Amino acid sequence: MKTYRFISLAVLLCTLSLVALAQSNETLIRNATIMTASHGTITNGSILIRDGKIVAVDKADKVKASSNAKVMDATGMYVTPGFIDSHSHTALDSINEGSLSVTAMVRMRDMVDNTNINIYRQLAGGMTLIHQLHGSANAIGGQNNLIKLKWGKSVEEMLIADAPRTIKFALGENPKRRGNPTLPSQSARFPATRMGVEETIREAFTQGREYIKQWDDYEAAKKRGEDVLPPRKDLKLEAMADVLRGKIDIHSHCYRADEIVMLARLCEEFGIKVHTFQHVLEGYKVAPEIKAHGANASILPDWWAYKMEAYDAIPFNAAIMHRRGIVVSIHSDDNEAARRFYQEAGKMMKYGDLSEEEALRLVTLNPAIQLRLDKRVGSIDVGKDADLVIFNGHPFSVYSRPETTMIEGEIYFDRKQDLEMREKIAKEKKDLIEREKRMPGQVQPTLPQPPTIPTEDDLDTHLHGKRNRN
Amino acid sequence: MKPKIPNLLLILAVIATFAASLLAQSKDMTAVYAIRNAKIVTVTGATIEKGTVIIRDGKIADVGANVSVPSNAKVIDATGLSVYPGLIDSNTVLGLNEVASVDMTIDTTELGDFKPNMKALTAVNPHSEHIPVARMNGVTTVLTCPQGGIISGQCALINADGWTPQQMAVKGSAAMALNYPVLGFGGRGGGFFAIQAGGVNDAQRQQRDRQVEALKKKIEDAQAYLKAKEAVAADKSLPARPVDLGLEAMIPVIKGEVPIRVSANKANDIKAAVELASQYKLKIVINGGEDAIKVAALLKEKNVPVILSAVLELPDSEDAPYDQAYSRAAELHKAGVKFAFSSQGIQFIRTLPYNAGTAAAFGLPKEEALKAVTIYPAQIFGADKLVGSIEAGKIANLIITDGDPLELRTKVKHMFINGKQTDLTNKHSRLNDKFKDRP
Amino acid sequence: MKPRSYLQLVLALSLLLLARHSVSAQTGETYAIKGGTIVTVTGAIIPNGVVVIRNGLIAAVGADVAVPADARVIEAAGMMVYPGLIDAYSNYGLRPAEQPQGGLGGRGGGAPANQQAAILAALSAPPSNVGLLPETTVADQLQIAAETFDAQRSAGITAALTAPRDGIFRGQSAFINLGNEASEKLLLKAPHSLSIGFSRGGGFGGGYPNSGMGVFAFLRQAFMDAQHYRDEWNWYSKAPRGKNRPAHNKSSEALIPVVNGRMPVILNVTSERDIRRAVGLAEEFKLKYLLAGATQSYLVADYLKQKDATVLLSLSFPQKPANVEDPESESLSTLRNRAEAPKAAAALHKAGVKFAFTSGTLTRPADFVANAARAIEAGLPKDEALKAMTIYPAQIFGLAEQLGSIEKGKIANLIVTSGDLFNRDTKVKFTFVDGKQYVIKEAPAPPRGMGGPPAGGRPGGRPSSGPAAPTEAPTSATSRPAPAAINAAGTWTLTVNPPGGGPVTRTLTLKQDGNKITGEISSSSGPVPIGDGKLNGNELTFIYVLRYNDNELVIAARAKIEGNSMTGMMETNSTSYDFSGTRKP
Repeated sequence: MKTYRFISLAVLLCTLSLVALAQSNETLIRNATIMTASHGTITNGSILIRDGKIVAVDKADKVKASSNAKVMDATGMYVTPGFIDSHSHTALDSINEGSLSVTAMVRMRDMVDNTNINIYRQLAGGMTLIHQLHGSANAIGGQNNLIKLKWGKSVEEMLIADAPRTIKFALGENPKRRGNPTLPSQSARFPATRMGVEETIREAFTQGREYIKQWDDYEAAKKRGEDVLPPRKDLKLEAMADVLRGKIDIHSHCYRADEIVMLARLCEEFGIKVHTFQHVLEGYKVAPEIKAHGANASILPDWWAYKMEAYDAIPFNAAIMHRRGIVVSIHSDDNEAARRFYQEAGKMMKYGDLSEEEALRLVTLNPAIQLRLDKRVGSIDVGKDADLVIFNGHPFSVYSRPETTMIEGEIYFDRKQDLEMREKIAKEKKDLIEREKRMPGQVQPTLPQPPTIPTEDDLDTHLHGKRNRN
Repeated sequence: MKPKIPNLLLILAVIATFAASLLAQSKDMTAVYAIRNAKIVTVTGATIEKGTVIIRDGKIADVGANVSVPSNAKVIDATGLSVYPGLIDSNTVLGLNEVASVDMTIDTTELGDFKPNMKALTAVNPHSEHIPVARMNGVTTVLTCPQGGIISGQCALINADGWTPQQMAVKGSAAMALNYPVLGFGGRGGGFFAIQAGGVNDAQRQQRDRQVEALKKKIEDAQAYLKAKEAVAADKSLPARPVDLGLEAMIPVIKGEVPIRVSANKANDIKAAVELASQYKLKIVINGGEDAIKVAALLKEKNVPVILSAVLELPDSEDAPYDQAYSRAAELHKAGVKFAFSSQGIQFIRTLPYNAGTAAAFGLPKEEALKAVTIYPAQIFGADKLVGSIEAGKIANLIITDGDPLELRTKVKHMFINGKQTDLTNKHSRLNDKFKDRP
Repeated sequence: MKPRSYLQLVLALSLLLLARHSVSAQTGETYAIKGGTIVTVTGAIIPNGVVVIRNGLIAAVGADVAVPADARVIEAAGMMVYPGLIDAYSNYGLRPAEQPQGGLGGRGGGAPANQQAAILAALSAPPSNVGLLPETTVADQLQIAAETFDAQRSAGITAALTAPRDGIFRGQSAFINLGNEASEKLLLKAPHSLSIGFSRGGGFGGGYPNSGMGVFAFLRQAFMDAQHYRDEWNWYSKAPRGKNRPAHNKSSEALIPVVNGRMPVILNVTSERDIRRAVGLAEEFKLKYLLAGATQSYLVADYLKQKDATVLLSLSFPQKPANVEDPESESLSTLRNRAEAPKAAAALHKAGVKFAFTSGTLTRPADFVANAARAIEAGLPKDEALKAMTIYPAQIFGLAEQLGSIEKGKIANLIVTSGDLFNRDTKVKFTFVDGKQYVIKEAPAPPRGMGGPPAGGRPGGRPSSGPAAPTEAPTSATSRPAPAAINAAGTWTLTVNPPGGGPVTRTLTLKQDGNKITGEISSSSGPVPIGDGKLNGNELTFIYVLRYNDNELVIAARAKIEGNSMTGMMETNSTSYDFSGTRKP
């Protein structure tokens, strides 16, 4: 019996290693300056990748690859972990369900657009993983989503297995905007003040708590053998209940010091924590309180004065909170800024004198921690996903640019390939335009499309010529 | 009962303080500075690896490797540091916009389509919190512009320091801001309703054409107005025309003394704007210029410079290369078109250097990137005798840095504007100081 | 009402409807279509055969069938006989929700100025329930007049599934024959399925849901509520004593057959990701589903095969928008989509996915066959194209015993054409619905929303494969003449109601040259010429420009002329308002 078992295990192992060999899924990045984000910088180092994971990272002479490994010579180049955006609205077909003040039932996962060109543009800037958030039109928005930017793959392939569940909260001017409607003809929606925002959230927590009790009572009665009907499943309250059970992390949009403290206290009242404050522009004013509460901070690096509650924003925010022991990340909230996280991080060496590794962590390891993915991504360590960016110079030099971005060992952006692709795109486009000119076809009347109704943000842009942040 | 003597002392003390402050103020204007042992990047001339800059009466008095230091000079030892001309941002609304979402703090956009007599300088708030913030990474000078309508008003080239708008002005009327009428153009706003899927309709096209016609008529009116005015001046027997403030404001433009600064991005619009300028013999600067490379030959031939829209900007279409905005400057440089960089707004004036630097990461020679935030904008706005390089006789707008000012990590250690050592603290740094060690 | 009794009622109603239908069919005449090539679809092609129609049904078909003595004979020598075509998803016979925009129609876009008014109206409208109620039945909304389906019948379309196009829960669809009788006599199956869309469209106010993810959450909750409602009533009915009675809920009740997998849902989708999301939702709740539209299904043919999905494929191919200033400005993905959409049917066929054709958003029924011909050009076998508009939809809707082929005993929905259905020059010569012969009519512009192109839609000329001219109609029945351009010329007194001011009187003087309109309108600073004046049917459009100080204001006007009066809207780039006018005698 024992022998038989042993043999079968041996056979299994052999089979496995044969499969591995047949795939020869090894890549060696050689002779690079490796900024690990976890344990300093390795000059003249190599990274060995197998089956999408980092299996070795060390000085070049210490890393040995198999003979059929694909070798990428990176002499003179820099390698960093792939960047992680802890607050993004990229690649979503819809951002705000702004009709109600609490929309915990909606899920951003339903709206992922895997064909959005911004995925590719951000890859070209070294981004590999994004936290796709609901907008900030309401006090409690929807459930957020996480994807890796595997351009060309399906939504399912982009999703991250066992990703944590997170939800968007929003405080301050945005959630109260619908209480003070932009159009005079629009009806107002509660709340219209920061007081109302607090009570909206307290109400949702309270309902969630009652919902838990309702189900607990039902389970108890069932156990007693009573003929009871299960309560109605309510998707909004299911989410609120899971927030109260600590199964869904709160990521809250906020600006002012007072509202940051408000939410922390409110959560404590219900025995839970704000997992991460988002934007948190005045976080530096209440850093001790944020630290005491135990929340993380995911911030806009140097935006300011675009609205009243952003007037006291300062670029030293990251450094101040970091020195208070808060895990700080930099986020984009913007399709453009998301393309150059290396610059956003680099600036933080100036604003508050962070060290090189501290600055790098703001866009790699720290967002990974905030998203509970630091066991898998965020630094160049053995066992982690091979999500890497190769730069032609120091990533914090304004004169450098990413040359290659890979996710799980697979190359999704390569500048050389990109330059070749441009000609192909231009040619295909030209051919298609020519073809339509040759065959214009009949004009066929169709039903009119319903007009696209602008979002809150569109309206703001239109009426004030400005852009808001979600 | 109050003792008398202390009262007198108090009065004397007050007088003394007042006098001292007056003295300090005047001293400041006339102070002599010597920046020694610095690497001096003059931009227009050779870089001096170790030299001295002398500042006197608000001007650069001397610059060189072997310049003697006047005995009354305040000496700044810049060993290990570099001196650069102050950076120039070629399109902003500095001083006109405080909090973007609060309308009452905004003075950029007057009503109407034609308002050439609106002067940005009038509304610049010298005490805006944005001004010291704009300085923090080396910007000493900006073009600040009115917005909206077809002719928005007069842009001012201002220094980022001064007690009054007039003290800030390098050139009060540096350019006439003009928005070339485009499809879907709708005065204030535009945006979402401008053009939706389904293409352009005839009404929009006709509206655009009418607006162009109206613009041309405005220019012709101004030409006629000037002609009549000159005729009256020459021949007093002719009846004087009543003053028209709008047309009056157009005279320097008609004479070619002040350029029109035309915001246009699409190739067709840029081309039409340049042709319009040729037709009426106006000096023109293109602002935006996203498609400038498509009409580079024309721009080069007519010697039309471009104020580039922000480099740190998304491509304009799905199919455009990801680095379209990053590499635009390099392409224009290769095509021989003169250009300058801008932050196109207010909150990111302090990231102007990174716009220039990023263009260099995508093919633009580094020296050109620096010129496009110093001497090129000075030339474009006719202020190259005043600012944009370190040359004797120019306004002493200088920055002393611990490295390349276009680099992300570089810090500005000292700044001079109008020869005055400028305070580098600002709203950000004050709040930082107040809160960083908060109990 | 308890779910079970509800179902019984539905069943009873269906039977009742069918019974009524068979009664009505007995009144038909007897016909013999003689000498044509009979394309039976399910059997072999019969050259030079005879089809006998009696009592609304196909009484006989074959090469050697005798012509009954009492039959009216249709000489079809040199012609082709086909089963009547089926449009597998339409809004025929329904008045769509009034679009607030002026409706430039055609090519999917109104004027931006109109859209602006529509958008502002939509944003300001109070929340409404329209499009949120699954209990809405299409059969109750049918509005059928004698000429309602003239254009369809003239294009060879004799039956269709129909449901509204707006909303999330769009209604329980009806399958109807496109005859001219009362709707009760035309219904073949109602309700057949629940039509579901994933956006609320315009005009619903700011109510929940107003986002894509909101729609998904709304649908999930609705299905979960139906399951709960079912269980709740079962729990109560089993032993009501001592229990509180559950409340009734029409919406949840209507969804019980859906969540029980008995009533299929039709998921209205377009893009690849629409398709995947909709399929995902259907699988989550184990729904029986059909996909409708699916113009981008060419990208996911294998996926659809793997899911064993059925597609009601739209033949409304994406078109180049009018007035594209710079062709380069269109994205490669847009260009590709236009090039690839006609290939979707071939891709589905190749992958082995079951599909039927629908007219989608096309408003000119003749384009249904014309675009099927384009699908053939793009690689779909011709016989498959024919099946996708005959027997396949009949099978998909469980009507293969009644429709979809020329077989004895089936409903006599037949068309006779001058040649091969898919040839450009072929004309439909005769159309039978329920054994009744209908006059082929030139398709005029039927009133908007009744299955024809919207008023003001681009005329675009007669399609090459369009219906025959009225002179070729087999009977002398009156056919409607093509609309002559109405007379707009004259002096009109307008009452204009600009916002923020009382009514203003304006004088509009119009001259007419064909459809071209010139003239002038009075203003506070004297008369102003009008530009871009056009007459499209009875719809007048023009623009004019008001100048004040240095500004100008472009005003676009659009009005419908009825006799000596007109009503319409004026729009600027920031507002819109209505006006009316009368012609001076």
